[in-house]
Amino acid sequence: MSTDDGAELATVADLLDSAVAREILVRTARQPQAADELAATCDTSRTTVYRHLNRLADLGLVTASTEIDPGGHHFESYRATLNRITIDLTEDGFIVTVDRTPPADDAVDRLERLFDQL
Amino acid sequence: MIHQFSLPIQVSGAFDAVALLAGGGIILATVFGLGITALVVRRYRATSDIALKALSIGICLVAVVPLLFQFIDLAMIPDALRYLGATVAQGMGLVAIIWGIYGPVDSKTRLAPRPSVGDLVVGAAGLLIGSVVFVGGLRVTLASPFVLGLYAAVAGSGLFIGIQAFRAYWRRGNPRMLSLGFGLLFLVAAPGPVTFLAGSFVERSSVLALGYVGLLVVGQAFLLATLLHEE
Repeated sequence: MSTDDGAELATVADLLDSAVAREILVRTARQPQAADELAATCDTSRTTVYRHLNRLADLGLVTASTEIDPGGHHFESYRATLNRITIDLTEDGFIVTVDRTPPADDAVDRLERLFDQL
Repeated sequence: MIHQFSLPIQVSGAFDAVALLAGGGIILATVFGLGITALVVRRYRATSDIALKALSIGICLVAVVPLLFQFIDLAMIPDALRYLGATVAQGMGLVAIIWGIYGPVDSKTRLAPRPSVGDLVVGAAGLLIGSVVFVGGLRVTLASPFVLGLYAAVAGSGLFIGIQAFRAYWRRGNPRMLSLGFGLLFLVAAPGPVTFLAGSFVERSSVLALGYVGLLVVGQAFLLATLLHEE
């Protein structure tokens, strides 16, 4: 977990104000997705998807991993690491806590994800 | 004496209380298995993910198909093949589940990440248990090496997936993974080895059958709990 000040709250809020960014987080929270898959499901261009992915990655809200298809081609797969954002208003101002879960990309996590989908 | 091809659930003697309990247990396990299948089929329709399809098919093959073989008594099919078929169905189910974990994710046939070091360690444990089943079975039964190899493969594979489920529970405390692990342990990994070992000490086949059925019932109950649990 990390604690951010009001400036970073504005950054995170500005990013999450984008419907595309929110959709990317929702989709990649379920399972890793490639940029072209996200572009198709979000009904937007790959350029837009990459722009949002870069911003999300800068804030540590998504993580990228390299996968290999049966043809031997490498491609980047993105997975949300954001679990929860908590905004507390205290006497000292806003306290933003971003809860990031470790990326789940091994067989154990995949088994759990499959059963959660069932 | 355990038939060289059979699972030790040939109950006989209508007035033997133990045999009756074992028979009732089989029916209960089958009811659980049908419940599992019904849940999987209902939820399967809402998805199109290849991995999830493989998992769904695997669960049905593991949970209910082997038990159905106990009720299929076609005169033309020898008992030996009938019981072997149950084990083969279970093995195919485990392969389907493993395929769901490591195989293609979607219609673009994207492969899952390569096995980790932890996966290899768990795989080695499954292989070890399978070897123990094979060697132990050769010493205490009259079963052929082919049949024992099949049982060993099923036990080892079931243990592999079960331990993976326990690892998932260890990481995030998901109770579904805990019940899945116990389900596979009791339903797939334990029956063969326990029966082979107990068969050298227990003379009454009905007692063996009761023990075997007990493991099935407990395993089925855990699998059903896995699917019924809602977060």
